Amino acid sequence: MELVVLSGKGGTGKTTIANALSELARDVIRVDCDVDAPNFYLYYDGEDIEKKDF
Amino acid sequence: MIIAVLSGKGGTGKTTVSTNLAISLNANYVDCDVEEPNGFLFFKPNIDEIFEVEEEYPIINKDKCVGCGKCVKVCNFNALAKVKENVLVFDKLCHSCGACQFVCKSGAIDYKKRVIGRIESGSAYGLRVKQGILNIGEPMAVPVIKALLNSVNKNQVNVIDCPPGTSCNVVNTLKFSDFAVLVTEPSNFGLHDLKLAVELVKIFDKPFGVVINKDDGKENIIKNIAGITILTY
Repeated sequence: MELVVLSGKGGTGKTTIANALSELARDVIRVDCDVDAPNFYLYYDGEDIEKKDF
Repeated sequence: MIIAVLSGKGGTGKTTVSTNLAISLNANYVDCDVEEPNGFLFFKPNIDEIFEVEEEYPIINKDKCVGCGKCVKVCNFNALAKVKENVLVFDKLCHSCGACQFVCKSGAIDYKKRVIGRIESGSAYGLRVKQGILNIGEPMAVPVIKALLNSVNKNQVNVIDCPPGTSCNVVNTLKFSDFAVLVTEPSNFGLHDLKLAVELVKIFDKPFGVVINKDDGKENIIKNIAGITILTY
């Protein structure tokens, strides 16, 4: 199952809602597609384990 | 004089700041957030001029095409693909550079125009106001932004409401400007994206200042960053 969170306007709370929803799921992958200014990772402590150039 | 109002993060108050700034300075207002322009909701201008923004894309003449695939190889934007003997055109990916037509030895490529958005101009509160609108589903905003900025009178004071982020859309607007106002909010997200925006204005060596919106007057994480000028909060 893939769930997408979007909004026309900025700053409405896409990341907040996406994070809250993801916390409700037991087995989940969180994907931040806001590649211009990704913020999702700020919710979690951790470090990069893999990096790939595109 | 061109003042660009930008922010890494969306929803920090670019449109609020830029519309008010335009009114205070008696300046023209230009909404470059062509994907979702909102400034006209404040101004409610009488629109007196509209022109369409067109982009060119290639048309393959099948009778002349010999299927050599040179056009596909030269295209930097993957707007052309060869499927068996046919060349497929993905018009929305085309950047109208003309390379495919240039390399085609058979003269099988012509260019056609299609409308991707429009520019609207009008008057409100004694100011000239403009906005660009990118048609829904169109992936490339830059041609609309360029057309909008080309229509700006640089001898007057212009306040430009930028799109969010730090990509091409913002870069094109920033390059055009003399001063940048970075609007942020006192949250971790605001701080994170402000740093991206500061990095961007420094690359282009533009003078800039920061407006902290949604500030409650107390100490916050934005006020203590070194190397930035806080204009107001």
